[in-house]
Amino acid sequence: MIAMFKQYLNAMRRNPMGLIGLIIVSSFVVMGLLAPYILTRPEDAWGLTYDVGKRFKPPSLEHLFGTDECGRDVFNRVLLGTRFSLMVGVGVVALSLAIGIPIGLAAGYVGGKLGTALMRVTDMFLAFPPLLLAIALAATFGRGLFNTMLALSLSWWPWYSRLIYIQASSVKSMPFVDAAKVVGLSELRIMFRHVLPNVLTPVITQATLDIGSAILEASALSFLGIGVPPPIPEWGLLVSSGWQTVSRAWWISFFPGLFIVVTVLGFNLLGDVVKELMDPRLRNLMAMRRMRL
Amino acid sequence: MSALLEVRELVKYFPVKSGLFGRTVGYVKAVDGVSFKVHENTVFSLVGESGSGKTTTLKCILKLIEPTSGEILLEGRNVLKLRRREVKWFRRNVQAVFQNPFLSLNPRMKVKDLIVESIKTHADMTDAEVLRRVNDLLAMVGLPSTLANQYPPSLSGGQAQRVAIARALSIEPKLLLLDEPTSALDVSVQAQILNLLVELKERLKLTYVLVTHDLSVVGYLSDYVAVMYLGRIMEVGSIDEVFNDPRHPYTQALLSSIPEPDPNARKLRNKLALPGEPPSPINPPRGCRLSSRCLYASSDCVIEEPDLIKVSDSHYVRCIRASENHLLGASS
Amino acid sequence: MSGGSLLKVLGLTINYYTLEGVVKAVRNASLCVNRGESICIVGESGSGKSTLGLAISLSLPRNAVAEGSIIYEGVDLLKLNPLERQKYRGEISMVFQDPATTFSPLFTIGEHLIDILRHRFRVSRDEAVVRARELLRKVQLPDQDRVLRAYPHELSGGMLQRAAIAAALATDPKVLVADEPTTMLDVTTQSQILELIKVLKRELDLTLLFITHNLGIASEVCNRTAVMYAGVIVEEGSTDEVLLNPLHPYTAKLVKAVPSLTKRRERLSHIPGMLPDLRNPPAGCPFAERCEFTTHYFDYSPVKHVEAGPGRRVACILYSGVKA
Repeated sequence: MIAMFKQYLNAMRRNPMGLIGLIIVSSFVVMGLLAPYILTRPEDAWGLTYDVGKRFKPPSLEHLFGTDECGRDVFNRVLLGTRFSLMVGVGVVALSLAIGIPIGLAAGYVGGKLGTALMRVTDMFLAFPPLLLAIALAATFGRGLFNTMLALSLSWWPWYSRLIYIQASSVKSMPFVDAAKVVGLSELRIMFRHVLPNVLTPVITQATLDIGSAILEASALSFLGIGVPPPIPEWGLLVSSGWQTVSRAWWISFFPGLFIVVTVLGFNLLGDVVKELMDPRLRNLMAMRRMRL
Repeated sequence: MSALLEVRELVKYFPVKSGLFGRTVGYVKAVDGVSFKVHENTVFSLVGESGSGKTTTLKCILKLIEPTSGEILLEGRNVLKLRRREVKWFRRNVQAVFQNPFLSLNPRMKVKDLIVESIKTHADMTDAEVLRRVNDLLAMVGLPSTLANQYPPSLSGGQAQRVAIARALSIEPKLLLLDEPTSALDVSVQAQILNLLVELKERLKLTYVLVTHDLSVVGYLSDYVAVMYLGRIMEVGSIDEVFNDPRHPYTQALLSSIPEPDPNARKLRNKLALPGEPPSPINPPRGCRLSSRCLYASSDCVIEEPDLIKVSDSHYVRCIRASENHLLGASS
Repeated sequence: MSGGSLLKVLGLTINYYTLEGVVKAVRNASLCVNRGESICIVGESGSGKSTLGLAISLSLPRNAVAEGSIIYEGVDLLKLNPLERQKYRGEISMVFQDPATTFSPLFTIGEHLIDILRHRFRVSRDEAVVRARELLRKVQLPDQDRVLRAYPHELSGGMLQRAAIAAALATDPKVLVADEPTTMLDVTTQSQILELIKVLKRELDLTLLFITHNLGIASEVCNRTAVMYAGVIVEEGSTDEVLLNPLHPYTAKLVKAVPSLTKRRERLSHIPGMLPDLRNPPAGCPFAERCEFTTHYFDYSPVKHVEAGPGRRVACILYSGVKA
């Protein structure tokens, strides 16, 4: 674990963009965790206030990001939104992994009729354009934080299950799996103790990259009005709420939009480093490139 | 002497599928009627080139694949018809060491955990006992106990293969199957492992079945050897008889193909090249399987496949000219 | 036969720049290859034998840096610019361990050969086809037209290695570097390929540099042998001399570690310990820490090659008293 951490730091030193990614992501995580305690106007943030006199105030020292159509402080709302958006991003990916990994693993390792059946189901989900499926599901489930996550996860897991399936069906024929059978281990133990750890690498890489996209898609759903319900200050919803008045109060949509962009960027940069770390061949290639050889 | 392992008329065909609906268009006859006996505390080798069926035979014995027909008996019990509890008995008694230790040891498990896992599957021991046993095993294969906390990829080839041997021996099997145990290793490391295997065999009264393409390794380790070609045993017998007096043209060719390092021995030897390459095991030649490449093939050879012909009590050859072939003597 | 040195490696040092550090693959290697001879470089993995072969055939990967000189017909190959190198690439050809790496799976054997021939000799397509067929005949492949149309995966390992040898010969080379060309093959096929290489060497008057880990192959193919260990050439001499009367303790151990058919069951000598870390190799003899003759004072003395007889060199302090 310590070695892993050292490697990570080393990779960071070689790849400054990765370091930027890590700084962005960790500062957003800290922001999300601490948000409830550092809010200056919690009522504004939770969307409980309505102050006609303070509507559409441009950014100033008092209101860093200005105020919105209800006179609420945009800075506070965006800050609290960090928590929800990260939650959605991580939640969607975690839920998708929770569905996708067991299905892919079982299909790939057991194979045969069960494998075929499971992969056909996966293919059915893959046949839909993912965002379209998510929209349809979200519309069916109704608005809500958990419903949004569920809708996105259901359109998302097939990718992971496919990835795991491909890996597992090749790892299955590795000699160490034969060796484990010869030792007399149970199939379940072989599957989870020997196959699973050796198929996770590409999925973890993909998942890191995907957290950004999940945030983006959740925002899209909220923007369309079928995602997180108001007054939860989810970033997509914030962008959407300012959209009508963007010509005279740009700040209402701009700042949450900016946060989305920066977070997604952060996860992508981080994902690149993770990918480099997980793939030794790529690692050497990058090292060579940096040494200008 | 009773046979610890007996293989009777083992057959394994793999279907060849083709087309959209996976219709079976033929069979790869990987193993086609192989029988042999292995006695306790001896080393029996299956030797042959790729496609000879030696590895498939080994996988059948290990119950990793289901043979098409035939019987495999361990201490007289048919291994292919075991009930659940008996499978455990079988695993306890039959272990294996594979070719490349870096592929046969899970790279994401510590050396210690790999061995502990196999001990705990078969024995009820306290954690302290298990750990002591791990250290004993590592010492037995000549590794320092500090290695227990490392992951296989950080070991050298020789160390990793020793770990694989330690794991195989951790449950005190009677029979150890060795699948090309040294062909992934360097010469000097190969020597270490071979010496270790000899030593362990004597100390633990083990029985080995060795599968390899390397005849010099066979010569070093074995008591008995079976030479396989296209799914069949062509010649089988005690190592001295087969190596000193090879009767089958294929055995002769194999023995003379091995590059000989000793310049003096090299000059004494006459080379006996085998032309061409093995035919497809989907459609082996009629009659004797070697007839398409054999320098001594006559019209009689393609009529009917010969049975194993007895040369002596411990030497059998599948060649109709077995009695004259020794004149061609390949090696000294 | 034409004598005299064709290729001279002088003080060659090759470092690989990797993420894990600078790997010193070859250190201060000197080797003289005479016109028309066959010389073997024998060593275990990590000995630097393949790197030396790659350097001589000008195919080092980009992260390798070579210092010293490789003099071929009076020209230092390491000082050439990329354009000049191209010319010498054809003169020194290489055959690799895995023939599949020689050919791209997307093109037929014929397309590969014809490409090489047209590029090298600027001949017409028809002429190239004729020459390609001739090359395949030379490497004793039957049914040349079928092989020309075949994709690499349609040929067996032995046939593919023959085709790879044909590709290496397509540029009409003077030197053939063969890096473990039979390691992936079955023994009977191996013996066919070795025979073929010997025949081709004789017929085409090639100079052969054969890289192998197998002492038996060295004995059968080459008249001279250089033994490498941890990046250093530890011993050099006629193959029979090196194998029968090894001077360096490493060679002596190695020869006794090979199980032999003629001396079955004789206990094998093995070399205790491991290869030193090539990122930080010992300053003195690389074999010192595994050697039974190591003296305390030994460890710090730099490696020196000692002439120990005609055409015989050894890098061991045990022989420093011996006069050539």
